Amino acid sequence: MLKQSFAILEVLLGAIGQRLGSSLVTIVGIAGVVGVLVSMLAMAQGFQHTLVATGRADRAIILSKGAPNESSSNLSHDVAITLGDSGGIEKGSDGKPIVSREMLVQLRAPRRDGTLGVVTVRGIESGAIRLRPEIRLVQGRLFHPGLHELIVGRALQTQFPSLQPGASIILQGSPWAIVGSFASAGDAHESEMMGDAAGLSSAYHRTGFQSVTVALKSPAALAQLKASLESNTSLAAEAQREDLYYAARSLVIIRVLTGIGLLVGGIMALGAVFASLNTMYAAVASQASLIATLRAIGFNSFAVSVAVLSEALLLGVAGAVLGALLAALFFNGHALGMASNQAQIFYVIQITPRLALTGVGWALAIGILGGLFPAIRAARLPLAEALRAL
Amino acid sequence: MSSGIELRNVVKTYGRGRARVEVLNGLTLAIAAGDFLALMGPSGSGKTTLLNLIGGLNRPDKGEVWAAATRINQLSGGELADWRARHIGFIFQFYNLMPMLTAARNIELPLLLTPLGRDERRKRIATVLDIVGLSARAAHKPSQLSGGEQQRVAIARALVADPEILVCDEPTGDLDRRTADEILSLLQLLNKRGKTIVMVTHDARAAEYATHTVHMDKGVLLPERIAA
Amino acid sequence: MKYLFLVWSGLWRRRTRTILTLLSAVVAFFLFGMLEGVDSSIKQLVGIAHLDRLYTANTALLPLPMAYLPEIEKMPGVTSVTYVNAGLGSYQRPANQVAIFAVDPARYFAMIPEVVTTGDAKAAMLQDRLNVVVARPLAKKFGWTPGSRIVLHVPAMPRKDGTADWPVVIAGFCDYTTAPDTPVVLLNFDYFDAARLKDRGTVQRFAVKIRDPAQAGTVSAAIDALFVNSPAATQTETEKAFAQASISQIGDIDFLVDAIVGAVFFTLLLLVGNSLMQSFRERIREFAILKTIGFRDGTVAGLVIGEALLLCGLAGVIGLGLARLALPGLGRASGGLFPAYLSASVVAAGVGCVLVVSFVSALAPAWKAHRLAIVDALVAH
Repeated sequence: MLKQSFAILEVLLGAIGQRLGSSLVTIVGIAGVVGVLVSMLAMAQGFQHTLVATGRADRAIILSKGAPNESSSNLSHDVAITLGDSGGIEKGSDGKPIVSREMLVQLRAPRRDGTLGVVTVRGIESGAIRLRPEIRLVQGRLFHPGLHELIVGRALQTQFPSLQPGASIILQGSPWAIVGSFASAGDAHESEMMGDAAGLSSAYHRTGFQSVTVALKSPAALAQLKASLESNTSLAAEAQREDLYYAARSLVIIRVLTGIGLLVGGIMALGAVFASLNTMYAAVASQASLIATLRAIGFNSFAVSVAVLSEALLLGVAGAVLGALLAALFFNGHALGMASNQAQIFYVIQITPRLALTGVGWALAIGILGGLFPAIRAARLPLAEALRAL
Repeated sequence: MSSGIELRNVVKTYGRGRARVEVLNGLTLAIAAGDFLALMGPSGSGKTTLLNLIGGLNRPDKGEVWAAATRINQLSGGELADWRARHIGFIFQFYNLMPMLTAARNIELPLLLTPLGRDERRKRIATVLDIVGLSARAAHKPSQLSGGEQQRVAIARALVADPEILVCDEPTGDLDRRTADEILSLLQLLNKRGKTIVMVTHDARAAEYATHTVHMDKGVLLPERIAA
Repeated sequence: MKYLFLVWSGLWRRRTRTILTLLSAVVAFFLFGMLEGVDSSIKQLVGIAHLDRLYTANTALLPLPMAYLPEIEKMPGVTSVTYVNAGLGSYQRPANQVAIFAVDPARYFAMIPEVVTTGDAKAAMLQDRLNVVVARPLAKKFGWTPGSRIVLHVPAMPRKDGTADWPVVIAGFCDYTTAPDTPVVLLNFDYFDAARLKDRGTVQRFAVKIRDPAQAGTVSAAIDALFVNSPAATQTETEKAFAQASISQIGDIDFLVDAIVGAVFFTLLLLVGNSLMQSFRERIREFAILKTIGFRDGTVAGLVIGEALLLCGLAGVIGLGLARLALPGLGRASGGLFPAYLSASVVAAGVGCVLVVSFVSALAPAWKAHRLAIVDALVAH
């Protein structure tokens, strides 16, 4: 039966010249659906990857109680020091707890496309480098504590032409030199600049920190840490697992992006189904006499249906390939800034093969929906009528 | 010449280069106003070409065509269209009605080209429907009408703008004998009411309804034979 | 319009094809309405920014001392100052989101004209700290009436007593005219400040009304200069800049929307154009007949264009109509994240698209109809 279907399909495709217009339209329509879908999902996924990569299960981030995010958290200097003595925290070879006290400031800088972007500057101490082994220098050197020096994350470098090693920027009226750039395993911190916490605090007349991030003895030790914080209410602080914290921050945006991508893609797919139906009905109508002849000769009705459906699927796949290619052409490598934590995370969109396959899946579904009824009609054509049209 | 039809030395050629065919070569013909002319001849004789020239569907390569007191061979495309709308009604072998429109709407089409208002149009449509005897079928679509009825709708459409000249191309070619007779009687009636009719036909019996018959072969008029 | 029946009948020669093309076009216009509706709603948030209003905030969104207020108010060019602390909360279930604004009732309503309430409601807020004024659609949703006592759970505003549950009394309703679906609850700042766990005596940001919008830059710089050496340095900017910064955080929405809409309409053009061309080819004989009757070339071409206009116009009306119905639902579903409605400008743009798609897709078949030679057409078809 399969052989029959192939034969019929061959004949049908041979005559596609007559239906070239409609077929092309269907292909373009499906390409549009796949292109948009793949692009939007890539946006969501890129964001997710960046944030999921941030944070580890064996680290916890401590914020002031009730703070929705790090930027809004405020821990006084004394509290931040005391937090290091809480339960569950891993100690280093020197017997001291592995903690990193960090504060944040924001500044605005022009992006490559001219719009103003929001840049987070993280003030860190030596503990941060010990806590975060994933941070490594790419260019230049680390800043010297006590000097007005900063290092810039890789993702910021590509987005902000003014933030490059060797350049300097004005913070609170005085110049700060950018002495190096760093990578951080592709996570959210690459969208930040870093500098000496003491120096930044002094420049911005701040005391206290936004967060204290600690190394846990083990992921299970989180419970210990939490209990320790609960028991000392004067600290007014609470802890979360670092990776879960970042994942939760991005949840809304990822949901929104994915949701919108699916919604828009779904609506477009509906339109593509209508276009596909149109094309396939017209194909069956224009090839009615041919199909009738084949059936009269003795070709299996079912084989005819399969052939018609296959044509629809082929159009779908062609559309999917075109759409994925266009998406890759336009969006692969496109840099995007997405809001998180009242800061912006910059990442690059990647059209992965897996996404392309998702697109093909959708295209096949559209092909099936658009080809099913016409395929049934082809099998059920009243022979006498169709032959008379000859 | 005042309200009749006249062709003088008309030449009509189709194709180019080696494929050139001279369908009409210096043909001259005069049709009096109020005449009912049957134009007969074998296929390829040029009778349809002649009909097209008379109806203003085509222009001759050389020569003059006069109809309804106008020299139409020099008119521009737009002027020719306007002239056709006012002076010519066409009737075809296969009726050529719009399948999606009712009889009444089909008949209305020529009136859309006039400044007449809706009520006036309706009145005229009713009048011609009455003339062709199809008042009861006004709301039917062509698929719901017999061949003869469709042709009568076509005739009504050709009449509704009150043209002087009716041009018919094998009007009974697709009808059975009895229906054909009915249609031809109707044409005769219209002729008696003053319409000039030029009819191409291959049916000698149809020609009997005409006042004059002219034969053609290979683009040339053969000596006239006048029907009694 | 006497030609209408003729144009209409031309569309329905092949019912299935016309319906499917129409549906595809409806989808396109629906998508257009939804996307542009959201996009323009968001842009409006920036556009309607008040030119005479500045926002003063900490450079890292930490609180500012309330003591700053009299200092700011004294500045030349400043007419009045107020403050707002905002936080997201919920009512009974986390899904029932509300936006709490802790405000100073005496100054807030006077300075923020887009939030409209009755004199009684305002007085009630001043009279009893527990009284709140809520957005009308929000009250309707939960069936709150004046006098209702409710509890709002606001994790962003932890209280001294260790909870984040704020009992309040509904005193009246307000209308947030520029973003009607925002689930706003206006809370008395004194109540908030007295019961809050930390940062007492501080505010998130100040709203500053200035006398002359042209002086925005000067006044902003002056305010920031006041506090540059204080523990909490400030960054003052116009409401427009503030809104733009917030919007820019949501990513390149504009670009995305334009790209999608462009792709969709390009495809639609091809679809409608193809459909019209097919339809024309099937009806060559009919167009020829019209010409024999005396229809001019231009008129016949016009009929083809008319078909395109009718088809696209119908699709536009249905598609945009559906978008109009769906958008407010989307706005509500996003919890007032963006107020979504179909603005007049989007409708106008939609009409423009109808015209462009109609004319461009009808171009080829209309031209062919114009050039159609009667005799050839009648013979061949």
